[in-house]
Amino acid sequence: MRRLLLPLASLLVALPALAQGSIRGTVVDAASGESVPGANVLVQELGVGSGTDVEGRFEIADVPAGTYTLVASFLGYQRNTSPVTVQDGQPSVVTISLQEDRLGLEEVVVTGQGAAVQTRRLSTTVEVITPRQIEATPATRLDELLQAQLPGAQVRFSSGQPGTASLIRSRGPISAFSSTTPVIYVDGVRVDNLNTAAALGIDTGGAQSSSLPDIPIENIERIEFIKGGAATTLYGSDAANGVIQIFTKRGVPGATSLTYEGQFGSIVGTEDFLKYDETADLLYRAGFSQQHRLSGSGGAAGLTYSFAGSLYGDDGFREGNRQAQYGLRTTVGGRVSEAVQYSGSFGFTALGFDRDVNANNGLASFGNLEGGQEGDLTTLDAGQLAAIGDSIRNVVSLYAYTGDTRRFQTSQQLDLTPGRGLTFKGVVGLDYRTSAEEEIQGPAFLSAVGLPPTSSTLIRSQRRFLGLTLEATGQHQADLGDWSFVSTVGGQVFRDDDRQDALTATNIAEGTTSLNNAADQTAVDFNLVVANYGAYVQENVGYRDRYFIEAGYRADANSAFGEEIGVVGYPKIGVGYVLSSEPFWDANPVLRSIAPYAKLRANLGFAGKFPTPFANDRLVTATPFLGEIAYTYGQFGNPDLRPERVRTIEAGADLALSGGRLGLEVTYFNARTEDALFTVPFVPTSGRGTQLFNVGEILNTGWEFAAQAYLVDQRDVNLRLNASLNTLSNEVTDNGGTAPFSVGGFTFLGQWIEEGQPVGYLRGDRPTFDADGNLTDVERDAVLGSPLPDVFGTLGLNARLFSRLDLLVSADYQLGAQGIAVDDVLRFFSGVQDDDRFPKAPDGSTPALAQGGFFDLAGVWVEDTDFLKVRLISLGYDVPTRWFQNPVVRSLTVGARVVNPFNVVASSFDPEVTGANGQSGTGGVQNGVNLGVFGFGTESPPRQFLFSLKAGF
Amino acid sequence: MRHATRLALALLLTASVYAGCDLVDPTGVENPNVTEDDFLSFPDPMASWLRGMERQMSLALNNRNNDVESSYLASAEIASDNYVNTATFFNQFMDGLTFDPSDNDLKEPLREFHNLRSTALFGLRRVASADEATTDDQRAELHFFNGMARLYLGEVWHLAPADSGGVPVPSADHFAAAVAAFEQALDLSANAQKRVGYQIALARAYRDLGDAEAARAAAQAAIDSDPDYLRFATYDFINNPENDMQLAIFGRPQNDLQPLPRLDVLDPKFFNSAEPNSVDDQYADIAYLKAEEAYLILAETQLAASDLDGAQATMRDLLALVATRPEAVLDDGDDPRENRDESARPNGPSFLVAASPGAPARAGLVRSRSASVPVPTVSGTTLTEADVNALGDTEAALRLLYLLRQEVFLAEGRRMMDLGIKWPLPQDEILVNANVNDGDPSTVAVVPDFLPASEMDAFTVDGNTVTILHDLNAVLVANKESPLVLPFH
Repeated sequence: MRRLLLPLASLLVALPALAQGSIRGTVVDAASGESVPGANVLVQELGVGSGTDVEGRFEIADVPAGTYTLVASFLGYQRNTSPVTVQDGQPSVVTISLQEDRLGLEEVVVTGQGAAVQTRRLSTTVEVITPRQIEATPATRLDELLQAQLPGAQVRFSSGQPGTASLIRSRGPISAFSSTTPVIYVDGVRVDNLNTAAALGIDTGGAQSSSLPDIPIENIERIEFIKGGAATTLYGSDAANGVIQIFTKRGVPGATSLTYEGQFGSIVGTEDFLKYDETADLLYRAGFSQQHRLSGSGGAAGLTYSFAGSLYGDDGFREGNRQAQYGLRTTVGGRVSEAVQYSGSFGFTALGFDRDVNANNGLASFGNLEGGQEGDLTTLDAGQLAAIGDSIRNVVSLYAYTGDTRRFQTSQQLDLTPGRGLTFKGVVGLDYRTSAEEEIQGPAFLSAVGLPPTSSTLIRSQRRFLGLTLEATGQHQADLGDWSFVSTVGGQVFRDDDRQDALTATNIAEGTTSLNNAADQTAVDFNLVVANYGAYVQENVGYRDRYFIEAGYRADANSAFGEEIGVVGYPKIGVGYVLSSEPFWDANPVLRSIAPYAKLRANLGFAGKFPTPFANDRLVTATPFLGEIAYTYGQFGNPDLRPERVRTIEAGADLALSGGRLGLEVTYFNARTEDALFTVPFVPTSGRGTQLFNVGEILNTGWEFAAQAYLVDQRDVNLRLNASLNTLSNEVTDNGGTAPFSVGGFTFLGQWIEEGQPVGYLRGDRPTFDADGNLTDVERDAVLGSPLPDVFGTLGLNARLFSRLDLLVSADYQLGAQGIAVDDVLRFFSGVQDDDRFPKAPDGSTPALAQGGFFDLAGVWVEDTDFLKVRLISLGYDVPTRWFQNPVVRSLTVGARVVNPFNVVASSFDPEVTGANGQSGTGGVQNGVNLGVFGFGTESPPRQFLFSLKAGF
Repeated sequence: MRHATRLALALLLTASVYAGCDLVDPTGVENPNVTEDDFLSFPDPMASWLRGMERQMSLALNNRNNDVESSYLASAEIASDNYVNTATFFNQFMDGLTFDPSDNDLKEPLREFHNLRSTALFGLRRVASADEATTDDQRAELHFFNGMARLYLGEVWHLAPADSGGVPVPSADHFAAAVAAFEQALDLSANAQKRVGYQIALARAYRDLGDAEAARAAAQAAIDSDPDYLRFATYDFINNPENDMQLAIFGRPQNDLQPLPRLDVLDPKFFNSAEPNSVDDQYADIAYLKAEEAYLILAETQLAASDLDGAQATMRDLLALVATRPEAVLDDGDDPRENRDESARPNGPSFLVAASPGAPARAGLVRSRSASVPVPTVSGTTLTEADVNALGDTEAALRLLYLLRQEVFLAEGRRMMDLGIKWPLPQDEILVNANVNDGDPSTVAVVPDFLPASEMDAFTVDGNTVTILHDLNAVLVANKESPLVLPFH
């Protein structure tokens, strides 16, 4: 730690010398001529610069006389480089035009680089969600935004009920012990990203609470996503699943601008996947949703600020659901001195919700209806249905499950620009999240469901998470003739402190919400603390601005490593070649018009994922027994426990074709997880349970295609299509001599880890039937399918008509995965299974039902889960100012949006709503494997019809 | 001068930051749990290790592993004629005597009994040497638990490794090791109560070995010392472990495991009145060593020696003992007794039960549970002195004796052993243990061919008369010469 801070401390005192003269001017959009506020203007040789104000103006004072290169850049625009001459005591006035970088090929990114670097120089790819895309998406939580806009990742929700977990996956599961959720940063600070059941979380039947719904997302400027491999090497033992980085708005100098946005609408249950229409009649009812958001930004020279606050509430699409969310975000930036810039970002979220029990749980209203517990609902008369409806509403009203989260997140950043191409950045930040889940099954509720009231319970599960991030980075940029160098060094520390308590009161007083009013009270806790600290160095060398080579190395230590493991190293190397910058290309008008930009890239890099904290220690288990403490064998421990290392080889090309109307990104990846962590079962005769060992090897390979096409690109009509197609092949290539083991599911049909199969493949008995529908054979423990799609991707359409009307449509799809129709297994137990589930005899009977138990028949419930889902249709109209002629209101936009409007699926159940708890199907393991396979007993994400009004002041 | 000032400033700032690092060290992490080394340095670790052994004994009989129902008791009872699994939660294969090594329910019991063994040995080797205050009584307990582990390893498997990843050895080797362990326990222990349990366990091990004389001697010694001895495996609703068998026969709404109608009046041995408190917890405890077993072994040795009168006298003593055992009052309001197809099972006193086709249909074996009814919580029987007195020959007496064993040990995982069923080693052992290969004899179950695999729990209902298709006690006695059953014949 001390070693890490020393260089920074020394650098802090290396203050720059003062200069003379000045440069002032304006930055404008090359196409429209409108000013560009917030752009960066830098004197390259001196490393000093300024930001533009709301009018696009800037001024750089104290510049010595001489000739310099002025570099202007702004998100979404191509970098502009132009010469400027400063004469002694004279201001130089310039106007800089920026070309929109529609295909994102030349933009500046930060994530994975330590400091800002142009994508042109990189051998890796970065996916960016732009301000416009963010603005067009009516998301109340981060994963909704990612689902609508991220082309290279799958985002699937485990339930339509509020606050529940999602599944985020890009290049396949690199691990057989942990989830696929990427690491998430907000303004450089790592935040809690637990997206599975918490260790002591309350399982309401497949619907697990997650930390993602309450990540503060107010005032987001932009999101960057890198998928692992060399792109994440600098994150060391943390980021093999990829990194999502959120940047909040900083504000620009000028008068304060305010924006109010109101959104209102209806939230209704999705009925597409229901077995019985009656379920919707009995349980669903349209709810009202509203959101109000006020944001603003402004500042003077040397001080900028930006703030946003929002209120959101809905009363759900079904009985027993409710949600309210409050968010605040403030970002301030100020120039401390010529060389030092401060920025601080503060975010707060409060989220509260009510849920109902899901899935295969005797108390689940939805699961019981769809699972056939009430029989075939289509055969019931109106009176019977009404009685069931009354009963359900009564039961749901008596049951209480509430979630309550408070979250504070801050990032404090100092940027030091002493000149001569040097920049330093120091970030300190934290994410503090407290969440409480409470479930009350009171006496009246239990009586209503036919259970003894004395077994009533109040369970309160509390989790406090404190994540701390410290980072220091230094970067030096140098141009020496044909050669250019970007050198980066840095160090990073993060620490997660996760403390949980589960408090249970049994035999409680009716109506109480206190643990005190009960016959019995018990408590358990769970602690998980991990510290990761490392340093990195990276060099990016360019020659003639078209040949690039980059190399980097990260060294990491982590408290979760075994005592025999010291520092772990992660190297990377990559090359980039901007072919279109070759003179022959530039000189050839045909080539230039066909492909104005063409870049080839390749890299090899390692990324890591640290093991479960404390899994390295050899323990005895101490438990209460007969009123005293009892010790028995505990965790075996592993002094050689080390991170999973993913070695990724990547090669691809970035192309702008057809005169820049078509952008195409193609990447092939081969990601081999070495030292894969398996929860290895010991040989049973050892008497031991399981232990994490680095014994496995997992291979993910695939092609990634992402395209953007400007089909129409006129001043009044602008139509853009984007599409992505990602292939995925996953296999456990080495099981390290361990026996196959289950990572979830049921005994009759589980998800397993076994050499030669995909991670979490479906294993169960496969029945064979003859032409008369008789069960003739059963293959025991057969391979029944894979939870992973062969192909997935997104489709999107953006249109802007008459510079006023915006249309956005986004959709995603997957092909080649399988899932399990668990609801129909439950209907089978009730004798009302799907009519086409089993082959029929010529007389119409179903002989197999009497010939096999559900273990034998398991294979019939495995279905293909191909789908295409349209997630969002959004329409916005900028009202002409002449229509409202108001001195206060600057702009007015009205919009209409439909969320989750259309679904086309191959399965009889919603293939998305398939569980997201770690080791799904059987309780949950915190941050355990989540693959999303079991379609059971929970509602799909609701359909929403929203209207919005946005006014600028 | 200016350089010197800057250098001094730099040094000062560096020193200051360096000093500040002592205040901020985000890298220090401490595990809040107990490491093995810490534990061994605690004062008096042996006493708490022995409590852990008691707990492990409870777990070995009845462990729920990661929410998967893999308890030995529930599986073994399903694999006998005692219970049929009418729902989906517990094992789906063993009712039909299918024992596939990939069946997870075969794995966890092997692990748990070996955990009992290795925990006992760790106690003897490591904890005892770390705790100088370890007494001979405590060492005796560790030998006893090691013996119990070996006893079950021999009784449940026909070939099982004796240690981690070892070569599978036959049941007799485990029984011999159990005998040696119990005798060591008896040598060391001065605790009169515990010694009775060791004697009963020893008698059981000798019976398993077919050594009638030694079994008789140990059984008699136990009876002489304490004629109503009990040793319990203890369960705890609040803090675990839970009794999984209790969940199987009572706790879940549909009462997944339903008894053979012949035994209905004795079920459920373990239950709770849904109010988890200390009073109810005692209905979860399992008397895994009880004086009844000594009487049963004694009577069996007497019959093996053709001493019918002696056996009848012993059985009468046993009935007298059973009559003194506690009963609890059960009111299972909704009385949910269903078959797999959700049709009703015999559930009231109007049903008469015939033990086999042609046998007399008896009343009083089935009852309603919707009113408060007494339930035996340690041992129960439907037999009377008159039944014992009426015995005319040793064959009939053997049939009655095995029915008595069935009733007394109901829900305790012992019937499967009496039926001669032995499990194969599980798949994980086959895959990881170099001494076990797929297809080896140890990987194949032993199921006596005289057992009606698909009709173990079968019965017909005609009006109010229930006829059980196979009286397995009669089947056992008819096949008493088989080496798989009736060890003294």
